[in-house]
Amino acid sequence: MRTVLRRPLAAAGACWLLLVTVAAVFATLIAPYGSEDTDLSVALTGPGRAHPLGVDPLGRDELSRLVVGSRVTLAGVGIALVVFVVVGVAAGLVAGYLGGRTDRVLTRVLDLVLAIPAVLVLLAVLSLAPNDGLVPMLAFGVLSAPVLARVVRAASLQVREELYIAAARAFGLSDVQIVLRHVLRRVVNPTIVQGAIFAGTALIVQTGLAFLGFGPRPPAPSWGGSVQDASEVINRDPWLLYPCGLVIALTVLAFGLVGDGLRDASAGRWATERYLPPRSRRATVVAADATDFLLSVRDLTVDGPVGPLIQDISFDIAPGEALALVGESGCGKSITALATLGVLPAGLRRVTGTITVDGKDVTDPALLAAVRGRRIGYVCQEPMTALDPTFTVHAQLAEAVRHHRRVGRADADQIAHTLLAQVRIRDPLAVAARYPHQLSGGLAQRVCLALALAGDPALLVADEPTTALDVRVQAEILALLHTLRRDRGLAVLLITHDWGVVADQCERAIVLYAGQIVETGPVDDLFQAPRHPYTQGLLAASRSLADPDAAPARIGVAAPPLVTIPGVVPPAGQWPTGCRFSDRCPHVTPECRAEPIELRHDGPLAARCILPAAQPTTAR
Amino acid sequence: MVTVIRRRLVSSVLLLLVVSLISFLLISLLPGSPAVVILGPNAGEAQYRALDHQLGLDRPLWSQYLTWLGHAVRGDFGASWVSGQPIGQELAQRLPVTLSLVLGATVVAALLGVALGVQSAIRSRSARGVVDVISLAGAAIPGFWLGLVLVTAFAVAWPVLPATGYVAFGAGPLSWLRSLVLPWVTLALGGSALIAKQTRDSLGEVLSRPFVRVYVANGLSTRSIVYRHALRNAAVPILTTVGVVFVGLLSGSVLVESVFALPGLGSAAVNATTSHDLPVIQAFAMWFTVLVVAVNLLIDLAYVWVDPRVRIS
Amino acid sequence: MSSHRSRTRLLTAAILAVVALALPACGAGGATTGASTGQTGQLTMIISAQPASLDPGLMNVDPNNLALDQLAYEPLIRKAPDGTFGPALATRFGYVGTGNTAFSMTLRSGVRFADGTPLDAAAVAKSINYEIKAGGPAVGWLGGCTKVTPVGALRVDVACSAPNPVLPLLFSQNAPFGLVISPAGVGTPESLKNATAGAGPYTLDATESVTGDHYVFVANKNYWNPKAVHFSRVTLKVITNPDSVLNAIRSGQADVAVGDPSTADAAKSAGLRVVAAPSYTVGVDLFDRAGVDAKPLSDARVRQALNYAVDRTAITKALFGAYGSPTTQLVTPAYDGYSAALNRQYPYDPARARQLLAAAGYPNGFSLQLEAWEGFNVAKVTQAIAGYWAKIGVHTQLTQDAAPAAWVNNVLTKKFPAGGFGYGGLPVYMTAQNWFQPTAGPFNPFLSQNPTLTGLLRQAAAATPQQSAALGLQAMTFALDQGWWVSASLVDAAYYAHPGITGISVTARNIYADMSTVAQP
Repeated sequence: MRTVLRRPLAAAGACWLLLVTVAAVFATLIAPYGSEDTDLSVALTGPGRAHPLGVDPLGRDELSRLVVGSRVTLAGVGIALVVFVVVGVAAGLVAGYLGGRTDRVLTRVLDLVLAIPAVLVLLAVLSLAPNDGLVPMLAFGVLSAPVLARVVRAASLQVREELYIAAARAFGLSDVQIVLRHVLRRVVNPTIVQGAIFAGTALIVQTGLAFLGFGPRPPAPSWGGSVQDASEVINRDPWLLYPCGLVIALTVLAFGLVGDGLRDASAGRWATERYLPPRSRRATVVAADATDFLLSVRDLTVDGPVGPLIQDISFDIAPGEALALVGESGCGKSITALATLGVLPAGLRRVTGTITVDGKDVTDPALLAAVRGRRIGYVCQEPMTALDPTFTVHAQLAEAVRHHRRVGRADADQIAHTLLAQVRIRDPLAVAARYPHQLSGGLAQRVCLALALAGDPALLVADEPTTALDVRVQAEILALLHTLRRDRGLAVLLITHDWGVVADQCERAIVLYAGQIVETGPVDDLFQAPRHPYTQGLLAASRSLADPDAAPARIGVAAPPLVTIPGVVPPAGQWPTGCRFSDRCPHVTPECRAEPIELRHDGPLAARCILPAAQPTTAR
Repeated sequence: MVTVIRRRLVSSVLLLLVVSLISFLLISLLPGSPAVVILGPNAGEAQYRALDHQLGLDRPLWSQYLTWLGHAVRGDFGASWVSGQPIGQELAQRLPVTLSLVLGATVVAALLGVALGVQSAIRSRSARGVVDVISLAGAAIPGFWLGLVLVTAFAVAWPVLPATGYVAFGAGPLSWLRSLVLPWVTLALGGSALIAKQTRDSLGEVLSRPFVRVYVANGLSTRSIVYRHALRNAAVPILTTVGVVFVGLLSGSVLVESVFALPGLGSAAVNATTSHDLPVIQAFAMWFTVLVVAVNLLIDLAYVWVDPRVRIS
Repeated sequence: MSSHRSRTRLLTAAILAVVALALPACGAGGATTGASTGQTGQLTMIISAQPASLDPGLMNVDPNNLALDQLAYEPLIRKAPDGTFGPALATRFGYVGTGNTAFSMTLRSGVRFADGTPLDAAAVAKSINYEIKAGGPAVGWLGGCTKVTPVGALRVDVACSAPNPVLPLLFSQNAPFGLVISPAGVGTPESLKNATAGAGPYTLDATESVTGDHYVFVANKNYWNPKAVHFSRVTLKVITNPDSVLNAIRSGQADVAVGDPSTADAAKSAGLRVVAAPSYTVGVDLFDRAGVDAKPLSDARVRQALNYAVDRTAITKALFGAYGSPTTQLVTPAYDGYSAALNRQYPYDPARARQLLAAAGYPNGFSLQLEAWEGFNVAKVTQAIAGYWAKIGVHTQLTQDAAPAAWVNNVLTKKFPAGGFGYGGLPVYMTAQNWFQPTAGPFNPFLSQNPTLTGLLRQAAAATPQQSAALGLQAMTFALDQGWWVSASLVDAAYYAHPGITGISVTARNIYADMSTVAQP
């Protein structure tokens, strides 16, 4: 409750409700005039000192009528609310706590009641007794109670499964005692939230009925009745419409604000990552440095909520070249790839760095958007969730083709089929007609590859494209990747933690650790003489996984004994000042921890290590 | 798919039976005899008894119910106690008005709600704040009052639209449209708030799914991703909300028809309520429920259309 | 981003579309004659309450119900705006002999009903007899004149068991008995509730009409006087909220409307023609004069106290402005039985009222259930009167009815000891039938009577017009002194019309516009 009041809107709502309630309780003391006292000489004279909210057509003080009218209005809401809570909580508790058959039957009944349009029952009740203020609101409470019952049922089902209930039962407490002591406490919060929301609805219903003439008998005041009275003098005194309408709206609003505040306080705010790129101004094209590289990334730094996630990452990819990004989970491989593509999740931000494609600076998001798909394609780790489940394979491919290649429908269909054939799908027509959930993992990844190729890119960013697949399929996909590179001259930025894949596919590799490049160079050199202890550790672990006699390592076939690097990657924000690997490094020296280590070039390799070059590898 | 539809049909029939039972039992709850309501207080005892017999009120309750149900199924709800006119015919005349009003308002609410919800999901925090305020206001302002305010603004102060009344579509589509603009807006505002909230939440969830990242990374246009792909993925909960809103607007139409003097089912029901014209209330209840059932079925079919997983599994 | 801009464009287009949609209205609203008139020869009229019944036998005599029935049912006698009676279906008519107990009408020959059947004496007699038997609210006016017989093909004789001086009015367009129903209609009374069976200028198009909302009439091809058919189609639309009525006619949705004093000034300043004349009294009828349900009402001092308690001038000024004047009486100024002096009978005097209450044994007042129809400001005046009564300790609870049928039913079942009324524009004889004679009706549901009053009225009914005036005044003075009712205001009947619509006339002597003369030259 305190957290609610800290929210200014919810607090304002609560204050208004308090005010209205106090006004209703002490109505006759507060109201400046009798609510039924007529003074025809001032009828419809508008707001003034004597009558701050104006005067109704019969010369009655509008303020007094609203103050006194709040009684019947709030009483109606109160009745409905009590019924709503009592019936809703009772039904929810019985269903949730007893479970089984009772639950099933009760749930069906609740669903049925919820499906009955409330207005029918209200009018039916009113047709028997048109001015009864009690029964219709009572009925409305009952009809709406299933909403609460569902929430309470869910909460009590959950409590029921929990241990302390079992414990309580073991202590010999009766069901009723358990419900009262434990379950009820847990459903209080959702009940208050639902109750506040329902109260707003009930108020609209109550005032609506009074507006239609089903309220208290005249001359007794009610809020809805005041709206009806005002509606008859729209031309003579439009002012009169506003006090009553605003009082109703404010009170409903107050219920809503309090309800929202309570829900937010108990549930926390809705927050998820979203991948839509940020909107930006149209960028001006920056003059290009003529280079031979297809993609150049310089000094890329990405900040997250607790500080940098990757720092000063630079690399180049030449046309047709395959570059591997290697490292354990959490080193920043995927972030590097996503930042390169300009598709960082919400909450992450590129703070420095330039991205150059074909020699043109495309760092600006708008320019980067233009190269995505057309120069750079992207394949992700989880093929099963990488496609829109609501469209067929064909529809998705054809859309991408049309979008990137600006071709007609028929041409796009043709190209889509060709793409499916190119990713070695045996029956392209049949697969094209399927929905993603009808595809196997391997097939889905082929489709993802086809989608990435739809814009005929020169570079493919493949983020662990085989991790989620089973071993046989992994080999197929890797073979396919190889073929595509050969046939199309495709460059690849391959993110992986599997050295076997690196050896098979790539010319060069970058080893990432804790957001930094720790070593980079041609794959052959890396395999033969890795400079950085981390690279050495990774390679040793990889080789111990594979057949000890087979080199280069083959793709992960489980085989103990396992060589691992002790410890874990330090999370972002907790990186050491000096060498970030220092805590896990077998060769660590005090200088390693002193200050940040630069990337040092040494022959074909560059490594972020101050130790002498000829360190033995840990395995072999 | 077949199971979904079949389950819905079973529960629909159940609902119709329950509503029919409630509305049938209404007459037996009426204090005093229907014959007195129909003939007035000054007829003779014999006349009352004859009418009771004619209406079948002297038979056992279950037999009365079966007869009534049998007729109701064929759309025959007997004659109004007040006007003496056959009710089926009268309500059939009024049905197009209510349908125009409620379906139109549902469409307006859905368009407005989805538009607001999408903006709120893809824009900045401040945009979300604006949508929140509109949503809260939309939910808080009572429709019957908003209608009056709109009339003072657009029919009295700045007379560009008719204040009241309904023009049949056949009498001129433009006039029909003009007669419904204010009622639509009045009715739709509250519903659009609910739909906006739902759209924001479901779209937000969908936009965090991996396929959206794949699509963005592969250069598909934001517009296509949001409106074609994400919205369709978010459609099932939004459609559910639209169904809930439709039922709500159907209830709200009773008030709005009264504000704008529209000759729909709702205004007939209100008149019947004040004059104890129970057969009209019964017929109204059944018609309303049929509408609810029909729209729920349509929405089930729409699920099938937007989500292939429902269709194929 | 381009997608964003195109969305903005879409939104702009949508707004423009809405504006464009609204624009034609400016034209229509600016044009004076409304949407449905002009070349097409159509008339749309707004009536201010649901008609009690389409069936003349069950109709309520008020501007709304009359407008509906006058379109379809041709009267025997036509009452002119100056109060004189002239021929319609009856070419000659009049009392036979003296004493006002026998009446004869000679019919126009060659007239046919809308269904083509000939209109003759037998049909007319059948129609009147049906309307008597149907037992509508007006049946009390006939007094003993219930023997209606055809004589030959074209003569209808009416014989009365007691004198009745108002038969020409009762057979005019302003009373049910003048509106002739075809034999087919009389044969199936149920059909009269949703179809018309008359010989009037129009017939109801039931398929286009929605009961209680709007009624569409089309020209009757068999009408005997084609010159008097001014429109090919007439639509009557029910709107009960007076402000909505004004908004509707102002925005061109109708050509004519039954107006209301509360909106008459606004109508005038909106450029509409307002036709108005003092026509009916509004107040509270103290039904239970014998104190069956509400004991206090049996005491004349209590009833007088209720009269003294009310500030008629204030009520009239606040609710009716220039379109009303304070009155204590039931009869309106154009008729015998009215006297300006009588308006001084109950000046606003709350002290006197309390005194009378105390003398009657109710020093702390009492409580009272009231009932009122929402039409014609009845409920509003009832509330205003109740407000004054509260000040002398008489507390009331009011049940309001929107539908006149519900009001009539509520009153007739004697559920309420008192209730609002709107009444007037009628001679003493008819007023007396409704209020002072034990014929059941919504103005005397407890069937109270008084021997003195009955005697005076019997004399007046048989008397010559000169004698009758004095006797009538004597009777009304006596009744006023008894305090059987609490009148507040004499109110104008008002009609609104766009300029260009002619033939709408309302006078103190004929308070209902004659639908047959409404035209657009």
